[in-house]
Amino acid sequence: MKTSYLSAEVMCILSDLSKQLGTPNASAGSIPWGCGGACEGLSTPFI
Amino acid sequence: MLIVTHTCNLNCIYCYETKRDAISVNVDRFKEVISKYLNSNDYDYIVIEFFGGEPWIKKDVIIEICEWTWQQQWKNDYRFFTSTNGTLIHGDIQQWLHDHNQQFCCGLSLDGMPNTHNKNRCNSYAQIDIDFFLSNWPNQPAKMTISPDCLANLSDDIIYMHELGFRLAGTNVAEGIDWSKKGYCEILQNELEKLVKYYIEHPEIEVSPILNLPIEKCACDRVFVRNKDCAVKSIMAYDCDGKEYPCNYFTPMTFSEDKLSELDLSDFSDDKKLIDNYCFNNCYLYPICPNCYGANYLTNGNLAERDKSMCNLVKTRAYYCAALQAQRIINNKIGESDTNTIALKIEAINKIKEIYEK
Repeated sequence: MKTSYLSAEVMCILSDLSKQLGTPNASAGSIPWGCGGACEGLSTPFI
Repeated sequence: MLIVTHTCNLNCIYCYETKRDAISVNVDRFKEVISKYLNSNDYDYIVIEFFGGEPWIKKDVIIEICEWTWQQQWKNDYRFFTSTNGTLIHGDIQQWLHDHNQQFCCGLSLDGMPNTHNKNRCNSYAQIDIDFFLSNWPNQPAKMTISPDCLANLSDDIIYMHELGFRLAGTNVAEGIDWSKKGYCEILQNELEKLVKYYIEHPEIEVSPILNLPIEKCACDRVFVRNKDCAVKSIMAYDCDGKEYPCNYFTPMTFSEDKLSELDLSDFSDDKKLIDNYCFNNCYLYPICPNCYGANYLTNGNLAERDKSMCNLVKTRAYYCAALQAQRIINNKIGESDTNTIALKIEAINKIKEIYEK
């Protein structure tokens, strides 16, 4: 796979931004993800 | 979840429910079940979902149960819901639903443009009053299922749904198909490339779940726990005769009684028995890989083992999710993500590009 949306230029901008943001906390947001939307039965009504 | 019928007026090409026997409904048992949940101290809010088959084949049962419920006082808040193919929602059913659209919500299954929908779902597009669903439940997402024959139209189908005005719920590939067949991945890549372009040009549109995987979770610590929103943790399904099952997949509509009796239902209480160890130990995308234990059981005969024929599709989705997220971060269109989540996303984008780009 290859896409221009992940070009070297794009990655360079992200790298600069990443340096500004610092090292992320990898335990934050580590909520497990179950069916990932694969479930036919699990639906939330929006009313 | 109350299963009011096993029968359906359609025969969609990807349906996993193969046993369409006529079975009578035990309405009193359903009322008993509703009473149990709506008076329980264990919950504050209950969604009572009618399921099938096509639930509206049993419109009298649905209406009787709803009106009986609305006449009572209950401890817990609740809403009624059905997923439907939409073909029977006309005339008196429409009027009844319109009168109760704040208490009862319908989610429509619609696969995209008329040609796609008709190929997948028995030429039923013209039988659906689409405007009725949009005007009564404007925020309710529609559900799309992707079949192999229609994969090449995927971007047009999703854009068509957006243009109709639908939000999208699941945009899932059909289960039980050998998706490893040569060619599918290349088609999906072309379609997702077009969709990434579309979403970059339309940042105001909510991204379809097919391109909205939470890739930042791949950069987080791994945990041996299922999501609390997995159906087998948060749903109880009651078949027409009142018998209880872990979710709608594990019912006699999909599996024979023998196959169901082989299942130790306590398996669902032990998270470790539900981990695909190969995937957990070897795949960066494990935390975001869509997974249904019912589909695993149908395809591989056990709850944990995932359908590996889907691996390349999931990798392709993750790669284009990374591409879209990268563009949104650069264009400052990332929504309400905090700085830690953005940093995790960037880490995941780097890794996904490194692993999957060739």
